[in-house]
Amino acid sequence: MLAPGARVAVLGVLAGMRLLAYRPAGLGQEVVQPGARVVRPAAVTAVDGGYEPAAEDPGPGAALTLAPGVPSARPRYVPGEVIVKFLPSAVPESAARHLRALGVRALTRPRFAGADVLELEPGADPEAVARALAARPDVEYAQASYLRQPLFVPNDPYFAQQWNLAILNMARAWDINDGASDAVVVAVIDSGVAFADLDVDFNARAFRIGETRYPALGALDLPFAAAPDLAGPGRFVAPYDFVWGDEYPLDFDGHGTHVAGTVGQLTDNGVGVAGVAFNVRIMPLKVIGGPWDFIFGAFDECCGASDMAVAEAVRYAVLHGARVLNLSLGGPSESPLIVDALRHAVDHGAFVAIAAGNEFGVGNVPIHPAASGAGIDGVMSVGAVNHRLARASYSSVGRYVEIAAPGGDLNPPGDHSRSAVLQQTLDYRAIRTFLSPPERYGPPRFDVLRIVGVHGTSMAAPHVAGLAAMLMTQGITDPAAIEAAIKYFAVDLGPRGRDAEFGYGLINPHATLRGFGLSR
Amino acid sequence: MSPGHLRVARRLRRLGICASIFLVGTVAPPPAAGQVAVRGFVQAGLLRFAADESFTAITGRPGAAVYGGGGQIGVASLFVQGSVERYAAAGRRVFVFEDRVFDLGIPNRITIVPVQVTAGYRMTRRGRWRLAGYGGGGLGAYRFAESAPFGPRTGDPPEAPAEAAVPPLGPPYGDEVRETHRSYHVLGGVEAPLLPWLWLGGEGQWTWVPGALGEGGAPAVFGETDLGGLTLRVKLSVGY
Repeated sequence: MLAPGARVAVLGVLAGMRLLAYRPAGLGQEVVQPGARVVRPAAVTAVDGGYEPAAEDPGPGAALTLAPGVPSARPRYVPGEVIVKFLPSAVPESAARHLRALGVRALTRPRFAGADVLELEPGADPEAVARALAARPDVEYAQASYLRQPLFVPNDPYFAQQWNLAILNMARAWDINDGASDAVVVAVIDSGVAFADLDVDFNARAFRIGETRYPALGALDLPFAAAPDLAGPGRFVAPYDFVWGDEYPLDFDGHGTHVAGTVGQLTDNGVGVAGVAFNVRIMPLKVIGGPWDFIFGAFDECCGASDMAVAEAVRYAVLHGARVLNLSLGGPSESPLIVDALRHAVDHGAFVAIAAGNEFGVGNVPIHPAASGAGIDGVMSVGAVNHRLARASYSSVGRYVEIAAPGGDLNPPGDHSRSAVLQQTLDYRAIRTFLSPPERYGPPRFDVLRIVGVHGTSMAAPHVAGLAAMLMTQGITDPAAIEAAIKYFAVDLGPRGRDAEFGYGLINPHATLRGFGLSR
Repeated sequence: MSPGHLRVARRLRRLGICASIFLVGTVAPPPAAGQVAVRGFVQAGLLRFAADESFTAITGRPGAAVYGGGGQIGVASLFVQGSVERYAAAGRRVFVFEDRVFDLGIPNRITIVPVQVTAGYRMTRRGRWRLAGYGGGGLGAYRFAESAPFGPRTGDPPEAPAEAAVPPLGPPYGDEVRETHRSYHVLGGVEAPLLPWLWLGGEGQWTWVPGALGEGGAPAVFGETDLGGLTLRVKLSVGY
């Protein structure tokens, strides 16, 4: 990161500079273009409405590639972007000359990231440019703008019981601490949260999945509903969407709403299911762009969370008072930008829980930022166990795994009863219309919410975030101390002591909240 | 009879009992050499625990006042005594990290009742004040109780899932610990007669209660395993 004066000098040298921010929503627009949206308070809230896919073909559109799916071992990044942090000692003229030689067209500074974004000439290789920049003595780090994926494996939506809270004995933990308090804000840095009743206009463009072409749906007026078992007066704090660049982090995917539910689903209210720290306030921060964000034109590289968005969200969360952050996302590439943001968060008193990854069956490559952040005291990398307290079949294994929490698992054949983590979220059948054949493809419904079972380390991490929120309420305010407490009281699983499957073991909320007496 | 009259009557009765004891004491002859001497005593003092870091973390102080009493039988210069004391303190459960103590806000009450038997030797009284030094050692039992009375939260918790494959973690409600540990001690002191039947003494005692702490809780963090410590006390004895 350049010093302010030096940065201005570099900006002056570089020609053709433009902002690289996503286009913000155009409030009050009459015509909705791809990449823009109009947000209005909901005229009608339909939570349990039916789902009827549209059948008509709205006409041709530009064909684009859509690649939804689980994280792959091949790093993916935003094309044409490199993130760089210059040292304060950087010489502007020298830096600018080098940047021009590398094909850099513009340099911008996002508000919360603590680093600069370089726009490259078309065709430039971001990883090669990052390597070249990183070799400069006046550069602290440089990296491509990698994309992170939500860490979950969808499962059948209907399960009856929350085994995950039972094996943690949460009911007894709530004897000690009544689900944290609204003084603690937990930032859910994810795909957004179903946090508001709104009507939003979008323009859905055409796309391809593989060779299958899906038509443009054109202008759509889509209703959104707040999750009734999550929302409440004053429940949501400083929401922000780092994909669309506005204050409406609407969940098009269901992942973030599910994760937020595990952190703080309303509990003891006679509705739906329970959450770990049900009295916290939640800060919905959207960084993961999903297929619908792509179809609506938020970006041209589907899908995931850019490192810049993640880093910005982490810093934004801290700036706006979040004391606990949950990141149920990751990717195979390291990001010093995100690690820098995580250090910033811990230094400012925030604890961070990060999903360790679902890669065990697909190469078991280390997943970042869990792997690179685990060394920071106050940041915990969370693996997943199933309902039998065995490591979940997908849960990544590595020395960076620090702790385990319930994440669910693939069902044994014939067993569909109890292996997923249940929370209220968007009805996948209503939002994943793009998985239907093109002739049945139609607009999604973001106002239909159900109790859905999902498994993944994405689901494990928010258990730890919820426990951290309870510990904050209980009096342990130092993120490093929270990490130490969670590790100390963990129930050792697997080989004795810390191991690569479970870390220090399964979180033990009751014992951790109870702390030390004289005898135990 | 009115309540005021009842109070006055009770006070007069207590005074009468005390006066009787005093008169009996002053008129009774001291025991002859070789006779069995019997005493009763009360004592009060200050106890500093060997596990001072743990007690400081939880109660805010490394020790506290102790009160108790007992009886003693002596033959010539030898004596055997039994005593009971009580230590009680209220604190909070904590978490300790890098020498920092985080108060978890959970009340924690600690009670320790040492019951001890001591055999000792009393030296001949010397000097103007007829001071007599004594020393001894013995063993005992430390009855230790700790309670953190958190209970079920108000209202019904979410219905417990029926299909949990493993037993739930942790105890059902609150914390109640009651344990008894063997102790060993040495003591020494001096005493002087205020009256032929009344002695005032000061003594110090070191007690070991090995292995009573350290399997969990704050002592495990601090590496403290002994529940004993140093007691300095004043002792008032009555008898022959």
